[in-house]
Amino acid sequence: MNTPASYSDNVFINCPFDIAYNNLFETIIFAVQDCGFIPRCAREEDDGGNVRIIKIMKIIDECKYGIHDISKADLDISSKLARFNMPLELGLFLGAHHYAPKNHYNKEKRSLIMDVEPYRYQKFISDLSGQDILSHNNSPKDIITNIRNFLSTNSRRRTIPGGQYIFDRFNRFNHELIPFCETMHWERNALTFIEYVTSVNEWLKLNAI
Amino acid sequence: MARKVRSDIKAGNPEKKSGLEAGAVRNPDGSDARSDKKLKTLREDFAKTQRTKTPGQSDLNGKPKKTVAVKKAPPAMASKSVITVDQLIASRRRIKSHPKTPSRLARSVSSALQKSAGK
Repeated sequence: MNTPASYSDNVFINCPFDIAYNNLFETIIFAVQDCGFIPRCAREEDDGGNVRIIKIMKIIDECKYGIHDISKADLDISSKLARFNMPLELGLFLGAHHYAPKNHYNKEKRSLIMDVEPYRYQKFISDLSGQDILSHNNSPKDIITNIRNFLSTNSRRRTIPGGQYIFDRFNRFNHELIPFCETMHWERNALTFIEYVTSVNEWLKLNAI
Repeated sequence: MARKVRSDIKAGNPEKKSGLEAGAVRNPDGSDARSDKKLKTLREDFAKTQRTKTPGQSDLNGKPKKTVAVKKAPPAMASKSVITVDQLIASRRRIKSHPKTPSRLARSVSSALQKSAGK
């Protein structure tokens, strides 16, 4: 079986898409791109004709790395039910790695699992107890550091800068994003995934150092 | 409208025809042009000097001005002390485009970023 294009650069992002989480979602995207990788998630395609789970499985198959934030496991205010999308996609990613035959590219899959507090996950996904799960305390700086360390350790690339450096650049980018959105006639808080990713990408190219 | 002067005419001829004194036609560097030098060659010489010449390069007599060579420091050396280790590491990594990004969008975003950077 052929390895998908850019397999070693693709990072699957499994996190909530709520407005409240949007800042942390953008933080993850920026950190992944500033480390030299490509962020992939279910939001990259807006095709209503595709079955969502098939689309997610296809993206998971194309990604070597997975960043999973299971922090949004609390009850929904209106429905009083928990959201299971993140644990489901985490299960798919771990399953793809586990059930891949020997020498298959999916055997190279690596996962970063994050929660808001340390050891909280043991109360609702106790089966993950054997895994190393990092906490981020809803702090963009902690998220960037976790992602940077994870990608640096697993990819062995020597081109990934430090967490503080990426965090400073993220703040600079956010500062410049507002006048940029005005120029493009875009609404800052209503950017699509592709618009945001492209903005980050082009900004990084223009601000190489 | 005056007729165009043929390019194979020699420098001595227009001097005679126009009643100019000998030595009126000159080379680009200001020296006297040989009377058997073709106008085409003279035009080419002038075009060559126009391409390379910058304002203030020759003095009033048409002689090239002597310039003092100033050795420029290479840009990397000039800003070497400012570059941090993180910057150096980050400069080595490649920024990869998302496979779903339309190239037209990337171009317009890039130009808008450049425009808004000055704001």
